[in-house]
Amino acid sequence: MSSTDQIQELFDHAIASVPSGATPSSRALHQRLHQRSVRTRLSTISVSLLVAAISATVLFVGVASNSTYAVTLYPKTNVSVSPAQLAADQSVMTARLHAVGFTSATVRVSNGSLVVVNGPRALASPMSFLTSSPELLVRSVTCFAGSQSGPVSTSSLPTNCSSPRYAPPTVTGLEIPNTKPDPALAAHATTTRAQDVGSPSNWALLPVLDSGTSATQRYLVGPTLITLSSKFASATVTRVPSSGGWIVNVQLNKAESQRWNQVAKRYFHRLLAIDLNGVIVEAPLIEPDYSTFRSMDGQMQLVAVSRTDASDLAAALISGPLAVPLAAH
Amino acid sequence: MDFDTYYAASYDRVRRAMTLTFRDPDLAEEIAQEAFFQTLRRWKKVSLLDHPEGWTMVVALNKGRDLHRRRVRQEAKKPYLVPSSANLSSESQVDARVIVTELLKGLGDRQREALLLRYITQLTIPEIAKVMGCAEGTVKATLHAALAKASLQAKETFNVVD
Repeated sequence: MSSTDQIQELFDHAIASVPSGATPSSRALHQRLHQRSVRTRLSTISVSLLVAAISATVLFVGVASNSTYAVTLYPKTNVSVSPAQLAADQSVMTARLHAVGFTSATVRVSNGSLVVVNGPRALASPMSFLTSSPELLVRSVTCFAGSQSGPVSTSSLPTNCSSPRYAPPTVTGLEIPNTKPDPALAAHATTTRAQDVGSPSNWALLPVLDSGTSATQRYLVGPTLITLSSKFASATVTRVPSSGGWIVNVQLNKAESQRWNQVAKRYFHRLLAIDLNGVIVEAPLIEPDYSTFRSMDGQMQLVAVSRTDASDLAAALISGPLAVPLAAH
Repeated sequence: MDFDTYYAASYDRVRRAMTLTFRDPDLAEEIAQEAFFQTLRRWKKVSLLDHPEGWTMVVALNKGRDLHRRRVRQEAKKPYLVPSSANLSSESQVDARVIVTELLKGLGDRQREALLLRYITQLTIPEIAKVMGCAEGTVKATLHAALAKASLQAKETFNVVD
């Protein structure tokens, strides 16, 4: 017997020594295969549906976000605008649009205007902060005034309250006396934005921006003490949970911070009004809880009625002023 | 040949080969079931092969290796469960099984594959080469090395003196 035959015999014996067992029915294997194919089919259908849903969503979002929107912004001035001014505005507008999240927006100069593609639709609004150079005018508050009522007075605005009891008090401590509005101011019309911006040294009767109440509150404010208009160091937007409103926390640059400090020190424990485009966006009472003046550290808070307004204002403040203001028409 | 006929003819042989290889009848049963399930899944292709059982045997060995390693990690190594003598036809079969199981235990994966295909599935050298996806020379060398170990193993097991 050859060695191969011996090995073969060895294996034959070994195989034979393993106890025989009943061969399980092949039906179980067929059943298992069937279940598996059903599961595979279901998984394939589920994955196909998921892929279809994702594709549809991506397609929809893609189409929605890729729909090109263009607006042409023209210089809002009667004098001729130089190419350098337009180029400067192009740069500022690009920075503003990117700051408010429109990173794919493009701004190009075309025939003496700026064409913005894929920017926000609100850009066409004449009230948009993005197309203006916001100037914060700090004014003193002379009197409280309620809403306009009765026939409009044609006389010029007074420079004092009809009685000292309508003047904002000097406050020490956190209790602010409830001062009533001066009835003598009720007949006077509210100062328009154009009047306010055009004559910052005059007294003005300005509405207070207050998203919390419907009643219009106005302040008679004195001539502008300082104008804050250059590039701000930072501006961040926060929500006020108690009122549901929005606040822009502003950090002034060094030079304007010093000017703001000087005015605030002069009006320590008194009320100041911050006027933005003819609306009082904040009327801070200067450090009522301190006995001596402390630096304001260049900080200021501005109220906005909506998140978009707050974001647009913040973007406009940190990107600096436009060389020439723009308008969509 | 349909799958059921093939299954009925080959199942027991594959199960026994796995019992010898992995020394655990339960594990061998599981491995055989899995190998035949894989065969059924690919039956359209496997049925066209000259020796479908060779393909199933290789699948069983690969699957067995994975399962065996997992079990070894999970529990202490089991001794081979020697069936009662009533199931054994002769003493020589017990000796043969001891030799073969010890032999298979000491072999590498490829050597074990070659031996099972040669002496249990009864494939020729060219057929083994085809199933294992290698040259005939490689199969011969692998078998030679395996048989050399088998010879040594047999001598050690039975204290054979040359």
